[in-house]
Amino acid sequence: MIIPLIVVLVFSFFSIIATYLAVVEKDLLNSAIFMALQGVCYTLIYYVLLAPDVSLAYIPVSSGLLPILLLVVLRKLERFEP
Amino acid sequence: MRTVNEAASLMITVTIMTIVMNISIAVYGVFTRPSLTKKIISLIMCTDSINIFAVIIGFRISVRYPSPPILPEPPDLDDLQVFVSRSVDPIPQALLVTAIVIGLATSVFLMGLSILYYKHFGTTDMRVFSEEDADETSE
Amino acid sequence: MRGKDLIIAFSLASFTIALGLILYLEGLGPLPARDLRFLATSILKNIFNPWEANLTTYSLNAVSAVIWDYRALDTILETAVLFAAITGVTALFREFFNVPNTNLQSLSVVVRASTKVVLPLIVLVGTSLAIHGHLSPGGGFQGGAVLAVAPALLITVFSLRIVYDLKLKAEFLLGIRFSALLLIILLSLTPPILASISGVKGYVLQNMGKADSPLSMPAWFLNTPLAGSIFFFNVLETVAVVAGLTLCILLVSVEWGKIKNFLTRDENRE
Repeated sequence: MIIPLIVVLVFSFFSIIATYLAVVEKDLLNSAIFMALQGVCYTLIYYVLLAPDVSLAYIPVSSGLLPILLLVVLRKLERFEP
Repeated sequence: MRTVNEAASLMITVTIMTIVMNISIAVYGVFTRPSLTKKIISLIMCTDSINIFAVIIGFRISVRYPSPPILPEPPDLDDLQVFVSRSVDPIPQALLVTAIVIGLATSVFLMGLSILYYKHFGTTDMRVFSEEDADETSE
Repeated sequence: MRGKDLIIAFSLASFTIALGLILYLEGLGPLPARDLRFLATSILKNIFNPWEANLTTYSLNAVSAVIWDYRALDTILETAVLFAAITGVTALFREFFNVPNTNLQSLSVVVRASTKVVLPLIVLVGTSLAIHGHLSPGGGFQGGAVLAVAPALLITVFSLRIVYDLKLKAEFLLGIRFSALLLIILLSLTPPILASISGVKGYVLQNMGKADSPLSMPAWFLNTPLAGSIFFFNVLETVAVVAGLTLCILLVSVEWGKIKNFLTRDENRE
């Protein structure tokens, strides 16, 4: 049970980097991509912690629907943060 | 066996601390960044980070090889005993699917609202309003 | 950074350190619990138990059984929350229900060709997840969300013109969503209606027969366990989620000029 927990630890450290970069970025398109990257890390954590239903529900929401909606919204609003 | 258990427990605790740090970075992003779209992105990241706690609560540390809460084929009574002694808690996972749907519903509605907000006010900079209120109250 | 930002950052950092210390010293109890709780034990023992026919559901997936049988009222109210959000978006964009013809361009040839390859695979995976929800990981909402990525990709890659070419109307999608929700409510009210016709007792959202009520949904389908109302709920929820999310993406991606005209016309009227 040690090696799966090491994988969880490595991916949660990776998700801290993705969250920090998403918050301080000025170009909001890059910020949306970092949000999708954080979603991928969390999907892996859900899978290793033995919750397949939750990860199947989280993949299309975090990496498919919310970034597409954000890109459509960014096209109509401003792309760079003031 | 005891040292393996304690090492696993320590790793879960460090994972919990990293998730708490994720939550605080996302809350910092909601408070301090001036753009409306950035606030929506940080709010989505904050709700997703809180959902990880539920799966960690339902996990099982003291079993050597735990299994997910799914039966592979119709079981007998002995298979049921083995299944109950090894499986992970299914109730937090069911509550989590509901939480993901509600987060999606809130985010979709917020994005639709922000488009009409921008067309009416012409800007997504939220600092404009707080400075105007400060000038009016001081005069 | 300004002074206010510094105060916020410092208070959030101290909150993080305090919460981490409390969890490390086991102030909230040992966090992954040492033994399984009693409620989880009794649910796991009873999801496929032909020897205890009052409490079983004949489904091999514990999470689907908890979502649609043991806590079915929570799931119906969650569907109502998603319905409220979709109604809100529809009410905000109600002027743009008739999508006019546009001359927007679609993206380049490479993107279009690869999307044409990927789209049937997405539809196949989504349908398989929806139908197999009671036998393997999957279910109603999982299949519906995967299936809803296909129209989102279609509108993004081929531009809003494809909605006009396929003659897809917003009222049609709204009608599908309403009918699926109505069928879910009718399915949950079927046992009491049948019970009052035939003179026995029946409960709302009942799946299998209980001690004082002999009505039950079909439990076997030619050799594989079909968990009664769980299968029908999964299929209806998939249809409802696909229609609702497609409608949201369609309404949000209407062009700029028409929304500006709509708002200035309102201000001239006042």
